[in-house]
Amino acid sequence: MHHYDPTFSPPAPCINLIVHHPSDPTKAVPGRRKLDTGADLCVIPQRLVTELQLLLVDEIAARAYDGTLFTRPMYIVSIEVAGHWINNVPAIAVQRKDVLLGRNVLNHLTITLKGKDLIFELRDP
Amino acid sequence: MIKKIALKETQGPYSLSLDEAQLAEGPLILEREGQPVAAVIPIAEYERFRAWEGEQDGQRKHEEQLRILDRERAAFLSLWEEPLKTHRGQFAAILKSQVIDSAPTLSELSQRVYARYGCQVIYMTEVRERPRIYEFSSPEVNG
Repeated sequence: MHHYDPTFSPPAPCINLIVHHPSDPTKAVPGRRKLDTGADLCVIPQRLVTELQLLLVDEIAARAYDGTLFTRPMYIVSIEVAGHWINNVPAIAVQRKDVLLGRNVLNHLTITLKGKDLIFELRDP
Repeated sequence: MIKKIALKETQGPYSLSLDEAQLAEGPLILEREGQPVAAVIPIAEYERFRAWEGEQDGQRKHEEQLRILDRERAAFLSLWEEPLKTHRGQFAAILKSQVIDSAPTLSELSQRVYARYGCQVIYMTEVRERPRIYEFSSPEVNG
């Protein structure tokens, strides 16, 4: 059972996870991250690219919430979340502080939101 | 205000009396025989410098990787019609201007090519007539 983060208004489902280099799991950065079902892919802060020495894979076209089109570099990362490993998932890098867990990771898991109680469950089916 | 301290060649360690207020006035320059050899700055300023240096290094590496990616992408586009016939809907990996592998997902493809070719810039892209546009409907993500 995981708790919503009350520092967001309204509270948001957040979880501790670790982002790893896809070929060298010893290169890892832990943090607390938000679940974002509206994002097709995971989003990582630009600084993780340097910290984890990630390799550029492609540049992708993306559409923001306001319809703006932009291009961002895409990398491959592995994600360890609540004891589950999701290996080699694509992620885009942007200038922000924390990671957004997009549907390309969330769809590997069974997530039950219990918003009324501000808790959620996350399981690997 | 820049304060200067002359270092003398002695056997013993140097002893400097510093406090934050003193450093806030400006860097402390250490000199030996009239020549500046080091600067003492507040630790917060040093950490900002290190972060800036890290960003510059990251930017250089990114530009280097982008040059390789651009070259591979140009090579792939010159072959475009063939992969479109043979790999449509798949993800293809391009290295040294050659399609080296393909797979239905980027996860599967990247695991295989990094295991086989090691950690290097390998262009991996979806083979489709028009590039996919990924959606990020959260206001936290913008260009």
